[in-house]
Amino acid sequence: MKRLAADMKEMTSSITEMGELVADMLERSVNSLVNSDIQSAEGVIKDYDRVAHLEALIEDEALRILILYQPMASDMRFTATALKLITYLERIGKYSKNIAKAAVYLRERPTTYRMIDVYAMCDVAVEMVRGVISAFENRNIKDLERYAEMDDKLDHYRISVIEDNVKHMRIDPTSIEAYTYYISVAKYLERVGDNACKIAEKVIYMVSGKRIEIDSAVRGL
Amino acid sequence: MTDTNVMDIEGFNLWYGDKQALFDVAMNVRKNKITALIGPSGCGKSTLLRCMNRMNDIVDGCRVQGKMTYHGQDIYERGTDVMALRKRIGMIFQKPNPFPMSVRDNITYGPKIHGITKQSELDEIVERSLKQAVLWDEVHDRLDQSALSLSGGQQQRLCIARTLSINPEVILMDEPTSALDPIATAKIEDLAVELEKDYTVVIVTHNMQQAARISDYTGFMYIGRMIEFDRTERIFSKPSDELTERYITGRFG
Repeated sequence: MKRLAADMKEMTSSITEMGELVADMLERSVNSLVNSDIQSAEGVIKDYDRVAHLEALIEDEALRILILYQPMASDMRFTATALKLITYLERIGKYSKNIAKAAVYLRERPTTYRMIDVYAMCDVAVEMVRGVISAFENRNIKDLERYAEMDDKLDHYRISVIEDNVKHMRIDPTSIEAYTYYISVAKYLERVGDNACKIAEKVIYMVSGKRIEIDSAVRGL
Repeated sequence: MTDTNVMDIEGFNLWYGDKQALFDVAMNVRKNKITALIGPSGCGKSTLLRCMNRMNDIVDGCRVQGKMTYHGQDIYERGTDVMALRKRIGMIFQKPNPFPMSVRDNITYGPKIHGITKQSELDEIVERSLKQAVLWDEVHDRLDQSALSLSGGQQQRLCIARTLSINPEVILMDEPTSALDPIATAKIEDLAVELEKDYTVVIVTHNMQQAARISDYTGFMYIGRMIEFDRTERIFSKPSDELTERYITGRFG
């Protein structure tokens, strides 16, 4: 069915577009936080509307494919994966928006906390999101094996962000509210990693038909 | 796969004259399950189905070789009582083929041949068979009208009721809905699923969605060979064979 193949190709490029957009938003949100760049932060907040729009558009398209072609086997796995992916990508877009909002808030409330670990988390999270999108686009799941490890890294960084900020709170109780924002940002970045892992699981299912669980070893906080 | 096998087929070959139509076919028919056979036209699925109650016996120059057993008994063994076999393994065809007689007589025809004469018993069989075929409510007040006055979908359910009247164990269906509209098709599909509780069904279908909807096991055939036989869920979500994948995703040829 040539039409189904064409529709699937188009959907692949829409999802890739959405994935690249949220990866970009994530990167810009953390940069705007680190550089106190309000303009860039507001750009991210605005871009979220585009993410929501793409999610609705791709969902309609996936439902249209289900109705028209009733896809089977690899086509079915592709369509089902597409439907799940957009939900995870929308979440990542929302976390980026939240980080951008934190950047706007923190701009007016400078503290002594240096965001080295937050920045490191951002690098890992962005790499994970770009990686799953490329795996989806090229149907190549080879690099997804490292995701449990990368997810662990995010968890460790997050714990260290919490510990650092708790220390700052003790020294500088007047800025407690600001420090809780950094802790929230770390939480968002850690959640981005979880969503990237879920996407990785779905892409592995799409390509191989196997259901595996990418599980982080870090428990607790 | 822990279900009990009603039929076992292994290394089964079939020739029409010089032309071989089935090659080394292997599959099982599991009790109280629906097994679907799919594949492009000419792949041998109807031929294989017709072997299961020896309908190919009537085809000139048809010759078989290999194992096909029903409850462990080779059905092609010399001395097999073919009439008794067909009583246990009934068949439904693509086009509804009711006898040109009343609805009631269509149902009682078989039981009468098998020696049932008591009217009350025959009445009971008529009601039970028609109820099982989900046709009773539509025809109970016109049992003495001609079967040919029924709609196509009703005729097909009548044929199923006729098969049920002699208490078969297995029902073979050869594209039972390809001559029916979508509403009649849905009724036959619901019926097949309903029958699964008491009977074993093997269905040949060109409609892959139908196979996916109603069957527990699916066999994909291609040019006389059983390419893949597995749980339906597996066949339609992650087939093992590249040919199966290409066929069910419509990328064939």
